Amino acid sequence: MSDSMPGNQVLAVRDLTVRFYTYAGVVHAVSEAYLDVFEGESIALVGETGCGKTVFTKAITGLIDPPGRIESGRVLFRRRSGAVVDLIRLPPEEIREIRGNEISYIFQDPSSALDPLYTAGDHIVETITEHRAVSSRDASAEALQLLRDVLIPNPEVRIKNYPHELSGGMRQRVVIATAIANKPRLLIADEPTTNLDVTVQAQILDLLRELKEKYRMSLLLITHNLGVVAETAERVYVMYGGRIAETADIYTIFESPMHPYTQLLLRAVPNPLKRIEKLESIPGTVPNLIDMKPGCPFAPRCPLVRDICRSQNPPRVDLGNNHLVHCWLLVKG
Amino acid sequence: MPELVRVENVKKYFKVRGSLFKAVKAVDGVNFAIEQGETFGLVGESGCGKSTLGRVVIRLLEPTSGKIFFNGKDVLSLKGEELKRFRRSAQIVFQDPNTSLNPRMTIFEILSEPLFEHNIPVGDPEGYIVGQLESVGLGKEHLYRYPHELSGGQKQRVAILRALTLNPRFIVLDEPTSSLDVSVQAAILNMLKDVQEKRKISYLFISHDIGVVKYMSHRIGVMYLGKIVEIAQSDRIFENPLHPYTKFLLSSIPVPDPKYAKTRRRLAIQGEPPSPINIPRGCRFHPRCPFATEKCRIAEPPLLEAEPGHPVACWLHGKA
Repeated sequence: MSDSMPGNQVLAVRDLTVRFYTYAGVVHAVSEAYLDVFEGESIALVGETGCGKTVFTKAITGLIDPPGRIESGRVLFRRRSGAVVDLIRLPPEEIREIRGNEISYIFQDPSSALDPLYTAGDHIVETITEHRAVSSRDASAEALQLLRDVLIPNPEVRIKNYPHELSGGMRQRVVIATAIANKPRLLIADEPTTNLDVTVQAQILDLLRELKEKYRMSLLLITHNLGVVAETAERVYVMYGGRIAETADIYTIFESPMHPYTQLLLRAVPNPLKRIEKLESIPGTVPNLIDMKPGCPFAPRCPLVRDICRSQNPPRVDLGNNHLVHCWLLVKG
Repeated sequence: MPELVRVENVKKYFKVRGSLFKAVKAVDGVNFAIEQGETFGLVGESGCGKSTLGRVVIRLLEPTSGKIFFNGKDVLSLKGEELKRFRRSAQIVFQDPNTSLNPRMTIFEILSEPLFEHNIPVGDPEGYIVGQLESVGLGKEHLYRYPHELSGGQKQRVAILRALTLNPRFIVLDEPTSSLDVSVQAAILNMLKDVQEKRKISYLFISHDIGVVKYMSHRIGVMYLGKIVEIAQSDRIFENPLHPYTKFLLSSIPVPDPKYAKTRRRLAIQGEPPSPINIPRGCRFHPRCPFATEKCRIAEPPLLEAEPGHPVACWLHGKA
C-alpha cells in the first residue's frame, strides 16, 4: 500500500506486529493487525482480556516500552495540515507534537491517569500550554469551559479539586476534558467506562458521542463490552489472539457475523431484553500469546476447526462492503 | 415452593471513625424472602450495599438490627453446633477467586478442608474430589496444583466447588463472574444453573451486570442506597419497571443490539448516588428523581405491592 489514503481518512494501520521479549519467551501481542479510521467515524475494537487490543492501540503512537518492540508495519496518519505521516517512522519529537494534541487517549482507570498532586485544572492547562502558544490565564479559561463541556457541576469549584476529591465518574470526565483540550482529530478511548457503574457509564458514553459530533473527532473505542459497542460504534474490529478476526459495519457484525469466534461471542453475552433459555459458552480459555505457532489462534476452541487451521494462518477473505473475515472456512475450493 | 430464607428489616451500619454519630448506613432496612430452589437477583450500583447485604444474610457480618430466618429458624440466635450446621447449609462465592482461594493450599487441600472441618466421611477423599472436579470440567491433573497454576475461570470453578462441597441449601453468589471474560462467564453461569436444577439450591445472586442477573434469576430486587426499592419477577421488571430508579437503571444498560441501542431514548438522570453517610430525608432517591413531589421530600415510601408479587417503594405507586 502506498503512502496515500483517501482525503477523508484519518488513520490507516497496516500489518502492525508488536512483540515483547520476556524471560518466559516471545509474546506475540499483536500480529499483522490493521485498522482504518475515517473522519467523524466511531470505531470499536473488541476483544477479551489479553487479545492485544490495548497494545495495538498504544503502538499506534509508539507507546510501547522495552521489552516490547514494534517489529513491522505502517501507521499512516493525516495531520491537521493535511500531510500524511507514518507514525512509526517519525522522530520522537514529532510524535510528541501529535500525541495529546492531534491524537489523544483516554485510559481505563481515571485514578491512575491523573496525577494525585495536580488539580483537575492543572492537568488541562498543562496539556494546552504544552502544544499551543497560549498564556496560562487563557488556558485556565479554556479549562473551565472544557469542564463545562464535559458536564461537571460547579466547574469553578471543581477546577481546583485534586483527583481524590472527585468521584470515579467525575475523574473520568476530567480525563476526557484533558483529552479533548486540543481538539484532537482522533480520540482513542481504552475501556473508558469499565470501572464505572452502568448509570455513570451511560452518561459518559452519551458525552463521548456528543463531543465527537461537536468537535468533529474520530473515535476509536476499545472495549470488551458488546453492549457498549452496539451503543457507540459504526464499524467494528474483532480481535482474537493478537490478530484481527473479523471487521464489518456494526449491523453486519451483530446480525450476520461470519467468524466462528464472533458468532460464539455474541451468543455468550446475555441480552437483558431477550429471554434466553441457555447461553452458549466457548470451551477452553483465551490463548497464551507466548511463542505462538502459525495457525489460527482460535483453532483450539473452534467447533468447526479443520486441519489447515492448526498449521497455517487464516487468509483474509473479503466478503464485500468492507466485511473482512480471517477464517479458512470461508475459503472456497 | 416453601420459603428458605427470610430477611426482616435488616440494617447494617458501620461506625465512622472519629465521630460519635456518623455511620455508613450500608444496609438500611431490607425485607425479602427466597424460596427453595429459587434465584433471587440483587442489582444496584457500587456502594448501594448489595455485597454487605449478602454477607449479613449468611451471618458473615452481624447486622445492626433486624431478623434473618433460615428454614424457619432465627439465624442470629444460633450458637455452637447449630451455628456450625447453618454454616454448612449456607455458603458464599466471592467475586475474585485470586483473593478467596488460599495461594498456599493445593486444590485438593482447598476442597477437602470443608470435609475434614465438618467431619464428613467420604471414604476416599482423593477419589471423591476428583469426581467433584470432573463434574465441573476440571480433572485429576488439577488435584495437586496451586491456584496460581489455574486460569481465572478454573479458579472460580474451584471456588464454586468449595461452596458446594458441603451440600448447602443456599449460596450467596457475589459477582461470581465479574472478573471473568465473557466467553468463560457463560460456562460458569450455565454450570451454576445446572447445579441448582439438580440439587434444588437457592441462590442470592448479586451483580451489577443486569443482563447476567436477568439470565440467572427468577426474581430481582433493585437496591439503591441501602434499601430495596423494587422487587419483581425477572421478566416483569423489564416489561414494567415502576420505580423511577429502576427505569433509570434499566435504560442505562448497554444492550448488545445495535438497532435497539441506536433508537431508544434514555431516561436522563444526572449525578451520582449520594454518600451512604448522608442519606437524603424522605425518599432517598428524591434529589435525583424527575417525578419527585413534596411528599417524597418529607416521608420515606414503604415497600408496597403495586401489582401482585411486585412491591415498589415509591409514592407514585402502590396502594398506600
